[in-house]
Amino acid sequence: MSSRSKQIFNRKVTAVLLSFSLGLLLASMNACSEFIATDNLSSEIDGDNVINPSASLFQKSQATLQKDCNSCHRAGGAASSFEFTTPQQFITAGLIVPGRPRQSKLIFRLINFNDLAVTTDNMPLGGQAIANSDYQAIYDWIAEMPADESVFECTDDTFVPSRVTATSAKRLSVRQYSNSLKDLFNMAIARPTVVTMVDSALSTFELPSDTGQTFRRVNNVFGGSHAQGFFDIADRLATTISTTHLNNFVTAFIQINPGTCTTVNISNLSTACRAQLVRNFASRAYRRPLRDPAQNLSTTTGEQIDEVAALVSEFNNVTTQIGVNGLVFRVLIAPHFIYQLEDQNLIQGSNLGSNTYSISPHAFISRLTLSFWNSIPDNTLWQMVETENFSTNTGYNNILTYVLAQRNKLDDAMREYYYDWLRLERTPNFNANPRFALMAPNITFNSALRTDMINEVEELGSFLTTSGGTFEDLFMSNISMARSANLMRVHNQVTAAPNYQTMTLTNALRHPAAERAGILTRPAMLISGSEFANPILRGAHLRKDILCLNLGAPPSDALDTFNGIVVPNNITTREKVGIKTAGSSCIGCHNLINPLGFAFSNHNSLGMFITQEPIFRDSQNVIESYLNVNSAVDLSSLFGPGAAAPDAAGLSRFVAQQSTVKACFAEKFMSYSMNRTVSRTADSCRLNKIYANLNNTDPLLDMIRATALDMEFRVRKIQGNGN
Amino acid sequence: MMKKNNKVSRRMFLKGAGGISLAIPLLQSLLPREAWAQSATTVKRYFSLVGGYDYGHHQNWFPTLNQLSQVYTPSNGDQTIRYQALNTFTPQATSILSPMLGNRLNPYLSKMNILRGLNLHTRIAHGSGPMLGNIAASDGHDTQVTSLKSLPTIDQVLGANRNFTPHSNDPLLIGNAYSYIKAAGGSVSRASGTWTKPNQLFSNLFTPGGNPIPEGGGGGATTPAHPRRDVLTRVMEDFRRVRRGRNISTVDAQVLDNTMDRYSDILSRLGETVTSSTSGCSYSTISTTAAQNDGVANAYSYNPQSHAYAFDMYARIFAAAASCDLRRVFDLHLNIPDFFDRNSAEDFHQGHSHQPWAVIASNGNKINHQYMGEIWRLYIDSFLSRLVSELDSFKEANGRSVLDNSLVHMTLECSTVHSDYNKPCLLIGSAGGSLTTGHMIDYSRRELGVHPEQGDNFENDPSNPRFGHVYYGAHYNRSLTTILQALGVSPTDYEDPDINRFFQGRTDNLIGSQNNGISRIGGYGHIGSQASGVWYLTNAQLYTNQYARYNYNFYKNSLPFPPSSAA
Repeated sequence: MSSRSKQIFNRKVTAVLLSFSLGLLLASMNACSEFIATDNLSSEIDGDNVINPSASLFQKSQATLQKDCNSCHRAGGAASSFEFTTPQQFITAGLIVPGRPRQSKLIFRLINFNDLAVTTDNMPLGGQAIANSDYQAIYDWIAEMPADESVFECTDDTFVPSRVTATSAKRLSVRQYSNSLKDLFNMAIARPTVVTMVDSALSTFELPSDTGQTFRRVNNVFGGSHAQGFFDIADRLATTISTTHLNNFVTAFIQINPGTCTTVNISNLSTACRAQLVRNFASRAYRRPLRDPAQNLSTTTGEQIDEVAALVSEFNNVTTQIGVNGLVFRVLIAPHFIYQLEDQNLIQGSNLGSNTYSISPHAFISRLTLSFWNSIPDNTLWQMVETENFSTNTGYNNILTYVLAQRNKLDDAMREYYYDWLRLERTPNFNANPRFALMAPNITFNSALRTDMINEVEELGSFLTTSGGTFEDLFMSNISMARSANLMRVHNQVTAAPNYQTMTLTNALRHPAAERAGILTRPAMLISGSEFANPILRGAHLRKDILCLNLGAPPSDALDTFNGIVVPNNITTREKVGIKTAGSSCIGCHNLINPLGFAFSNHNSLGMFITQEPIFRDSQNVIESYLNVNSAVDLSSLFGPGAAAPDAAGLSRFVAQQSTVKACFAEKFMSYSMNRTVSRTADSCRLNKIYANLNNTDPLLDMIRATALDMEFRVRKIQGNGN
Repeated sequence: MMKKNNKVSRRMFLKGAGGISLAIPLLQSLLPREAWAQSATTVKRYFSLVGGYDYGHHQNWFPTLNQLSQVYTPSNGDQTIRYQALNTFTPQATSILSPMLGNRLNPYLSKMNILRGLNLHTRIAHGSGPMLGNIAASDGHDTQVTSLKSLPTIDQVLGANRNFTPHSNDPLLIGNAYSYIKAAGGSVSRASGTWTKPNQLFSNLFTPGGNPIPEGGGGGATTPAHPRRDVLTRVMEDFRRVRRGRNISTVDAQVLDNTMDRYSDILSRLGETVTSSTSGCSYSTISTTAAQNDGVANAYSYNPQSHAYAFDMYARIFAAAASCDLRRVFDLHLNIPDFFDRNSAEDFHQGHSHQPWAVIASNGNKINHQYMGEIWRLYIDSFLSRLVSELDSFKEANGRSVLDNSLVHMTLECSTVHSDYNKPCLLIGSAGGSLTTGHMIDYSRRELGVHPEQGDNFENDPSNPRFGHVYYGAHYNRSLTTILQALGVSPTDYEDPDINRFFQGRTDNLIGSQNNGISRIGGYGHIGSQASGVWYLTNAQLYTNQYARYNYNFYKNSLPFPPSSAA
């Protein structure tokens, strides 16, 4: 065996031995490691395991990663793998910060980095640093990269039809369905009456909840219970409309556009009036004009479709009441009402390539309102479609400006977005706990308070988004949304906040800046349901959902291990958690979780700001003492050397400035607004446009504009032929 | 499982619907479901035969306790089932299907299903309601169960459903009334008005006021279709037109196909206007001259021959009443504990039923469970086999027999002493093609191991020869949901949103992670007790062992059935 072969052999043996001796640590690192293996780069490594000196810095870096890290960081290896072939993929994965090697994980986690401020510079495992020349190549590669705020790999941000993602017919979410029903019938009937009518039908005939996705509206399941629910609700509403609201319904919908219907005689509707009633009602429900029978292009068999005539047939040989009953029922379970189905909304002959077509202005306003109002277009938008100029961007801009100006409607979608993004459904309930009264004697901890807390976060997110707030405001704003007496006490607040839908950034009531900084510091994000704060859950939530960083499931015996470690009672929660997670099998992951959670030590388990933490006497509902809390954290294990935060507000500010957080947010928002899952590669250009608006100067509304004005928002790709 | 037959693709159907005539017979089973639903004209009927006690354990009643030979896994994620054609258990025409079922049903094996592995999750012991779905009507072994909301039993759900029956006096009830009716105000009580004398029932039905009703003539009453049927049919056409559109992509088509299938299910339940349901009203062949008073006796001695004759007569009356469309829901409910005691010193309940392995010297040294099996076979031979043969002899307008379009349902209070596991369920007929037939179907989930049975624990005593026969399976109530759905009742007509809330929206894994997040349990009947406090539910392990092994995502669904009927 040659000396080089021995060297390789010894290295392999060392790796194997290390794998065994550090098995537990490796196992835990596997679940949460940020290091990712390189692709196959054998071409840059010669048979003697030497990197080709003429290779580029990037190629050298890749080769080094393969040579020195590939034993674990590879597909099927002990640590998470990757197949990165471009620098951008390293950026997107959060491994490097262009132009800033000292902030790049690929550098500061290496033993070579040797910065005493960093405690996790332990790669490669086993204690043997990589060759300094290899280290320097990686360092130089990162340093020479231009600092760039575009974190997603987009080589050409012009519109490319082939890049458009094909989507299927999308069922209205339960929320969109409910809002659409209310807005549809509100065109004829007073809103309070409509709300009662629709809510009653939906509570009586329950539709399955939209679950199973980060964003509920992405759910496109249509099961038997959906069919039954849509059927029963349509049945109920059709009966109610035709019996209780017949006159208003008929008169109002004809009035939208009377056409040749000059006189409305309810008991004996003329042919013209029936046609206008059908045309106006169904078009509003379908979010498009009814099909023109003269168009002979609608089906594969070339059949002529007269949608108006088909619906008018519901009035044949029956009274107006029965006709309206049939019309409403038929429309409410029709494919074009319950689905976002743009088959009739494509501009004929507009194939832009790759079976990608421009959608009509009606389809555009439908997309806009379903995405950002959770509802159907209103009559103003219908009028704007007729008057605006869509040959340039002007018409689209004006439409969008109007949509974004309807703050109450925009609010519905934005509240849903923040509820889903922040996983507020996981906000724990308050169980009966006598220690709560000792911690906060004047507060009633019940489900109503939990709801108030959730509303507070939804409202703050929506308010900032719709009122000129920036991305940084989301993480820094100290605006109060507390109006209920209980929630005000949680905040130690005397005056109730004004209605957030009428407040402005200048007249809003504010908390002390040190106590509340943005969404992360609001009670719904902090409460644990018990008297003990849970920094681990706080940190894990922040890491997974805000930073979009991996976090595997804890080992099956993690809880037993945690509970089995005895700690003194008279220390803070932070100290207890620190001790319990200090073991070698825990610390690998908890270094990536705990600092994020510890930063909120000034907020107790009830979401209240504190400077001292009560220590309860064992097994007794007695506060034995109070201990000062410490929320200063060292974030270097997550964000690089020198990263630190003095408290929750400092952490929030730090988080808001991280490219990974902005990238995460961009991905989430695009998924929500487009009603689909998003690909960081296929959607990279669109994601970059959203990302570019996430800073401390641009209002979040600009992010919505960037989403909606993208060319891909105005086209539809037809993938395959269903017939 | 509702029959789903898509042997011809929807595309072929849609294109074919354009007017091309096929030179082959148009088999309904080859059509997509919505087309089939539109083609059928079906009056459906429900017949229940229910017995108190157990009449021997399931060795007596199932054709086999072995694992069945065929496997089917539904595509919707519901549990895998095992099944086997019933005729494989009867190699000879005279072979008995089981000691209790005998061989008189053998000509109808292809129209039957025997279901195994149906378990209740509550401690019933005895009760008059659980067999058809009202577990609250039990004897108090589980006090929390008795405090649950009472529900109308499925026969009464059907009787009250005007889409199912036009007769306001349904069901026709004979015997002991394991039937609970919901009053207009919502209260639920045990049904009354049972018949105990066959000749009196005959007169009441066929010669009311002394005037014989006319025979022949097709006899069926007119049943109006559901008022939404026509418009839903037009909506389906709207869907089909959209589906044929030029701008429909492959994935759009999949979404629309799925949606159309779901609406087709609803359409199939809405019924059609029926003007002639049977081949004619016929009752005059029933003799009313012998043993008419031996219907449900309460003496210590009896004449088996006259007893059998009376029940044969009940069967003929049921079938004749169906032929004349006088009723659509029929119940024969039997609680006859002391009738079969050999003398006044015997006690059927404690002496026979609760000592299934005891040998009774005064009874010819018979083992009790064998003896009880013989007793129930008397009703199989005299009543059930006669009813089935009579129903199969009447033909409907759609070419099927009344039996084909109906469901004959037999169940018992227990499978063995006090046991709520492996509850008997025999179904005959396909409810107009809604169910595949001809099989023994086993819902047992043997991979989860032996079920920790509650109560008398016979099945889990390793020293007991029946040890190991009880497994986790499907909830018994799903058999009742299956019946209701097969007979075309809308879930909104039997689901009760007030019940099973304990099982909805869980996030704590208490009843298994697979049951987290179910916003609506749906289905028919209570899953079980809804809070802790009952002796066996206070034990967290029982939650883990019992509730947590079942998947309640499918509680509201029909049970999965084999994909096709046995020959």
